Amino acid sequence: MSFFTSLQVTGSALAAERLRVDLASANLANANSTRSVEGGPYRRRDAVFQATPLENGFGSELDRAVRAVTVPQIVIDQSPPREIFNPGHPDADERGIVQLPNVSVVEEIVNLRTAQRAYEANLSALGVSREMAQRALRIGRTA
Amino acid sequence: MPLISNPTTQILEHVLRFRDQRHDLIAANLANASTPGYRAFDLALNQALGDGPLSLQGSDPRHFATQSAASGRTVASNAPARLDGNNVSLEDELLKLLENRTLYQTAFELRDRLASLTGLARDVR
Repeated sequence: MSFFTSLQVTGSALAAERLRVDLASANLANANSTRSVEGGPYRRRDAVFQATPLENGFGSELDRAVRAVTVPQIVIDQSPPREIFNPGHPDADERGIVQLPNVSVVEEIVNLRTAQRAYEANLSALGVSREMAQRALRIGRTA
Repeated sequence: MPLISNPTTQILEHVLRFRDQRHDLIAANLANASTPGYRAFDLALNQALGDGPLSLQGSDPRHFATQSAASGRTVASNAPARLDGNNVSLEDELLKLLENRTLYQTAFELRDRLASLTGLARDVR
């Protein structure tokens, strides 16, 4: 256990929350994309967060409790697309219905906000880690 | 009172190790603030610092009593969980983070005072 442990853990969280912001932005950006490379309308993406013990631990109780965040998977939301009636749209079917992405703008905004808050909290932890490391480096120096 | 390796130095060393490890745990809780199903942990002192000589305690006789041994025991938080099974409270963890940092710096401050006393004694001679 050292300061690098907390830096490693906090760093993993910053990367994961950043990914969540990226995905929410991509979902919002494509909230009206009726075409995608997979065919059909865009489907919203979500990150799966997983608490993972650090690899360099000794397997003690503390090492098992201190866990970093990993994103093992990015899942595609399988909920049905939104449907609107718009016969003039080039992607409308024979009944005049257009399939729009299953993106809920409100849900994505909430995701953005919670990710931002978690990111800020981790930045605070990073600041404190740095401060503590610097204090420890000053040990033995005359004040 | 011996100035070098006196009981206060040992206690301060113990405190610093405890604060360092507790900081790791709090940082891990904050890191997992969005992980579904994650339960928060905290580190509790094995014994009050005033209760006789300090020794590293293991919960199992096979544990090594080394310098890197945990200076406390991990306690799972029983705070109510959110809908996704996570029970990390950002506010609580940030408060613990600041409290822990302050006590860490206090221990260092005390250690510096002690060191300057040692220096004084040397200068007197």
